Amino acid sequence: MSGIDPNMKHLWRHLPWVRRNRSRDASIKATADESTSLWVQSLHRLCKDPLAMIGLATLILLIMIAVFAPFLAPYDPDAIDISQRLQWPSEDHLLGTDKFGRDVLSRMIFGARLSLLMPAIIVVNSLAIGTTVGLLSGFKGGLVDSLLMRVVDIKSSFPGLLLTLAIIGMLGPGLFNAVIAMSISGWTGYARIIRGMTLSLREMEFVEAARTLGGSDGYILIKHILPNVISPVVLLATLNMAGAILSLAGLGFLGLGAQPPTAEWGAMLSDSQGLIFYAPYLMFIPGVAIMITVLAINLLGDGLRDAMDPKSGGMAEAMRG
Amino acid sequence: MMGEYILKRLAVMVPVLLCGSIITFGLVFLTPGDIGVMMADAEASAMGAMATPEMVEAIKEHYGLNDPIHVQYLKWLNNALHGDLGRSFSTHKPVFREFMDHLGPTLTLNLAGILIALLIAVPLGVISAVKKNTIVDHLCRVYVMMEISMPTFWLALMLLWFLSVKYDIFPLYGYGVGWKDQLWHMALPAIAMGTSMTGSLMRLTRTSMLETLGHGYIVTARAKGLPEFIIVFKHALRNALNPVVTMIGLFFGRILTGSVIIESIFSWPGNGNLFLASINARDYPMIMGFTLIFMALFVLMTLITDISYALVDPRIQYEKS
Repeated sequence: MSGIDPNMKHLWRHLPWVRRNRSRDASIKATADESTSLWVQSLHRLCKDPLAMIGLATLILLIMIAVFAPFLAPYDPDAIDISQRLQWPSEDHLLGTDKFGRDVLSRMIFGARLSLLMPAIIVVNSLAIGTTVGLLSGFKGGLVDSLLMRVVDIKSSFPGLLLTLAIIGMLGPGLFNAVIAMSISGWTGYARIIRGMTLSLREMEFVEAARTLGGSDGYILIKHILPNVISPVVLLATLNMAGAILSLAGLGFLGLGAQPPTAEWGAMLSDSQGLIFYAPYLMFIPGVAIMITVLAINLLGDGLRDAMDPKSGGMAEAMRG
Repeated sequence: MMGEYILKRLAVMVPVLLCGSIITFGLVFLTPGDIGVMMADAEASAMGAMATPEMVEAIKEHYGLNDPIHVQYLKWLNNALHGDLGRSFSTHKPVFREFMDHLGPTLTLNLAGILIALLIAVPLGVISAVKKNTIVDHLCRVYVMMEISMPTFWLALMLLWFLSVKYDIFPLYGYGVGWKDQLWHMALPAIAMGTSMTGSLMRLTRTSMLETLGHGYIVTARAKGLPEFIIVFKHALRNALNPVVTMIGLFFGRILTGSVIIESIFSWPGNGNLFLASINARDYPMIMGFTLIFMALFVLMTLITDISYALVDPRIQYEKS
């Protein structure tokens, strides 16, 4: 054993049975502590930011409302009662009724489900595409990298909303098509950032070690690189929810997203547009709900950005572009 | 030197635009159903008849829909380069003429909107930066947070309800006759559009101003005993405007997508409204033609922005970009 290159010693850490006992290895323990403490530090900073906490609490409340909608809603959101149509807010109907006599409060509560879930799905889809492209591009390098990055460059030479509208135009209006179109339109930011991080990770010792031990490209990408790049990007992706909520509601408002009688905030606003003289409360309520949701995410996002990167908002700014 | 830079940038535009045209042409494959049948139906309905199988075949032969795909693409591109983007399914007019017919209202509305945004956002952003951490600054930041969390369509609806329905100040919708009437009709949509841009613009101006005010030459100017007014406007603002110019360029590049919502709310007879109508009517030649035109406009606007950026700030070296 004496003939072994001392520099190769660290390779042992990457053997499966050694890794499981890695807390015994003092040097690895130190790095692990360092990395967790960075996260813990950020979290501590975040918890001290009152605005971010207000945002977080609001967001949790909204998610709870969406999850427990059937228990919270006083009426069936789709139950039509013409005799009760266009009632102003009252004790019976806290937020009034719409042109078919449906209870607006119940529709708002059920609408929270689609209005929160669909943007989340869009962001997850874009993240999945962006992560795949970024990982491949950064890890493979060479021709694959230049090809994929040209695609990203060209994709970002055109406004995302134009592409979304064009895709919906060809596929036809509808919530499902809107989700597809928005997922395809917004992944380039993630791809760029993941690629950058992968590029630097690729040269790290532990990747070299895994490769020396015979790890395949796929294994290294998924087991070693992905866990290291994903957490900051996922955190930042949640912040992109704000934009996704606004865009999806906008599409719903234009009649290109959720179709009536689906209870979705944007579509509800669209429904109320013709009733501006008789029932302005109908358009007031969904707008306030969208604004509160987006505001909560933005507040949390600003706090998170300051907490993770107190010096500058570089990464978050790049993600929004 | 400047000419060389422009030429270089124009050369880069060519492959980007080619890719844009491929993306646009690719949109056709997203349509559910046979494009030949749809075209035959459109032609037949223009003559008040139904499409027969023979007609479909004749149309396919006439438009070369039986050709291999790359031949179809090259033909389509050749036609597009000659300004022939096909005819609208619904109005049977050439797509390019439809675009030109509706360009005026869109341009004037967007120009007015951007002007309003600049007039509000830049002064407030500067004040916010100069009076950092005072009550004025806090109020401005609260405004920014509210504005970027607010859906554009909701803001427009609220303005419409408040200024047109409640206090009958502005007309509800439409274009008006004669320039005075038109200006009057444009006021509300322009205010809505302008206000919806103020949040991000104000934030950008503030950040940029704060950064510039921290530079050494500002300290020098103060040490020389120059009046604060001159320091802020002559020394700082001019240097802080670069990112603002970029953002204005982006706003211009997004003219179509940015004004779809506003134009549809106020029934403004512009390209945004027409694009939305085409999407709803499944008017594929219009959707494809408009997508192509606006992709090209966006790329062109990016170029113009970069050039004006270089003009505003002589320190930027053309070779590097």
